[in-house]
Amino acid sequence: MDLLPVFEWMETSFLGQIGKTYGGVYAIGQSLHLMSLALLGGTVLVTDLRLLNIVLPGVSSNVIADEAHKWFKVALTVVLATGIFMAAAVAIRMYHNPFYWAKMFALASGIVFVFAIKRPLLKRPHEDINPLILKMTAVASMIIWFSVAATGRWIGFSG
Amino acid sequence: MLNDLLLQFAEWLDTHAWSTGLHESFYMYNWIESTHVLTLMIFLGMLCVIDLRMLGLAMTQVPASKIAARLNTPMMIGFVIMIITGLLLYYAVPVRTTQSIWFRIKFVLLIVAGVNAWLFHRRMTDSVSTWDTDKKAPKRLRYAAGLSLALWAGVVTTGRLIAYDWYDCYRVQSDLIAWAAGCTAG
Repeated sequence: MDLLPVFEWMETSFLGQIGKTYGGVYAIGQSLHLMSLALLGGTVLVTDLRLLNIVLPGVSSNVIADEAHKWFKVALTVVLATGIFMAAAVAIRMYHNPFYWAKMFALASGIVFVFAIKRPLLKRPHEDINPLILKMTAVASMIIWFSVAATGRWIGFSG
Repeated sequence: MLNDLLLQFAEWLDTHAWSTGLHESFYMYNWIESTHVLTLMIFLGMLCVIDLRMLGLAMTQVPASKIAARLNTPMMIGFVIMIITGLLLYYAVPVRTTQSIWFRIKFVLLIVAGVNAWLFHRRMTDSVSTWDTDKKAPKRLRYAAGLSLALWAGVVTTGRLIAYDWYDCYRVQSDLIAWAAGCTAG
């Protein structure tokens, strides 16, 4: 299925026109995207580094994972909202940009990984889970979210 | 006077072959810029967690001193990488960056954020034993945590805006903007 008509529609949509016309609004969207990505990174890292026993070793990893996940959801919501706004303004360019698709693939993998694998696993008492599985989950999580951020940054360099 | 000195310094940096080489190297420049942005996830991410704990909005079951002390190391690693890559980015494009009003605002915000962090750390060390397990930090520390988040939001925003040329010196600007951006070269 060719998605080009969807991207063409996005660029002519109200959101696309706002981003195209008002550079300042677009820049604010970019800044919010970066800040929410930083918060997302913080929540991912604090959980994963705790699972690897690198930070907060004396604190229950269940507590850290539960608390961090609340803010992860907030950060992800803002990342998605601002990401759609930013992509809408340059939708056709994005459609032809391989790094945009790499980012979308990484982001979709990250969301599926968190909500289908990581979160269901970490909801259980961590003492009942094989420590190796916890550590492997943490490493996989950091690799996936690093890929999301890195491919996102390279969209700007390859457009 | 200060603007002239800053411009002379930037022009001197600009004469370095390494500065030009870094600017013109597609991969090196972009990797440095990517690292600068990616370390935001480490530095600012950890800072957000610490500040949200002080505000009573996250990790309230964990003693504040523990959060601050244990997340400090990864946060500072992120900060050091961010500063090194930031200096390299400045070195690669010294003249335009020196005459960017956004870079100048960012620099001021960084200094204010640094002073705020130092005061915050001092106040926290002095008083933490009395409120360590409380859900929220005392009012003054909550203000400092809120100010920290606002200042870093400003640093990120102005950092992002450096890429835009709305107030670059080659454009016609008001006297105030031209002075603030250091447009002394005419």
